[in-house]
Amino acid sequence: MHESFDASTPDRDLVRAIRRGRSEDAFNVLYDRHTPRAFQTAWRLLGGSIHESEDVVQEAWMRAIESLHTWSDESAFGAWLRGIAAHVAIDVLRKTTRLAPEVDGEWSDEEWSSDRLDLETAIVGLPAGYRAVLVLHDVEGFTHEEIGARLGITAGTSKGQLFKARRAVRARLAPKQVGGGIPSEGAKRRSEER
Amino acid sequence: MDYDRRFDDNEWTPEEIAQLRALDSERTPSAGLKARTVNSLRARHLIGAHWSPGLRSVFALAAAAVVFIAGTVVGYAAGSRRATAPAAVASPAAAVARVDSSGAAQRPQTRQVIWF
Repeated sequence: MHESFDASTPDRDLVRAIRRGRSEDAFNVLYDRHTPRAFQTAWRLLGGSIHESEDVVQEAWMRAIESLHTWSDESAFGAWLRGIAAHVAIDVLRKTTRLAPEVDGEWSDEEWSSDRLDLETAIVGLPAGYRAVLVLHDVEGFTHEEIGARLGITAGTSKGQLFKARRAVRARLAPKQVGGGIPSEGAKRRSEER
Repeated sequence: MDYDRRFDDNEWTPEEIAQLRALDSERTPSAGLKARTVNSLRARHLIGAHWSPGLRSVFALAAAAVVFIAGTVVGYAAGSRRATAPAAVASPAAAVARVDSSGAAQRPQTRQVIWF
């Protein structure tokens, strides 16, 4: 009997169909549903590299389908897949030695070629170590302990990296305040606090 | 801890959090990625080329029928060959034994007396 799947089919049914019958139709639905978010996560972590991000997403799907039996339908499949994608992306960063602890100094203005600096651009343009912690913590919602375990650093180091990453983002956004950057009111409040 | 508090001071403001939440949560990869991923999964036999239980039963029945028919044909051929085969030629050992036994029958019987 041939099962049919569509956009309304719950994840657990799709996963079950892949587990039991290696259903390609079920995989197609699952792929279309969850790939854009996983790709976005990989893209941010890898600093906007489309080619590397696609490789990461492909590898994440391979690992996900291979270890599908470990997924519990009590957790969200999309979050589970994004976790795998983040893990693979971190491996890529580590292999290319881009995940070394960042120095305290800011990066040079020459690294910023775009006049229109929005929050996304600011995050993607961060040095890899800062970016990884900021994306994992502030965007993906991982705890410092989880980040530490993934990056092979302590939770304290993760906090320190996040502190510097936020400061770096603000520093880049504050002077321009163009195109959806951090609002000037927030920057004003911070400068008053100082 | 002072260390933690120092970092907590750098929390995002509510407006900044709103900005973060407003970031695009999705990004569309190239169309080729799906094809590549599906091909890789197929190559590792993780998806596709699956036989449904019904198809599997049909194949099992067909395979059983082939084995049965093959067994019948082989058995029939072996049986018919045995029926038409010429009388088996005795092996040299059997022939010698037969000669010996016929000679013994023709030999005169001798009485043996044992004295104590």
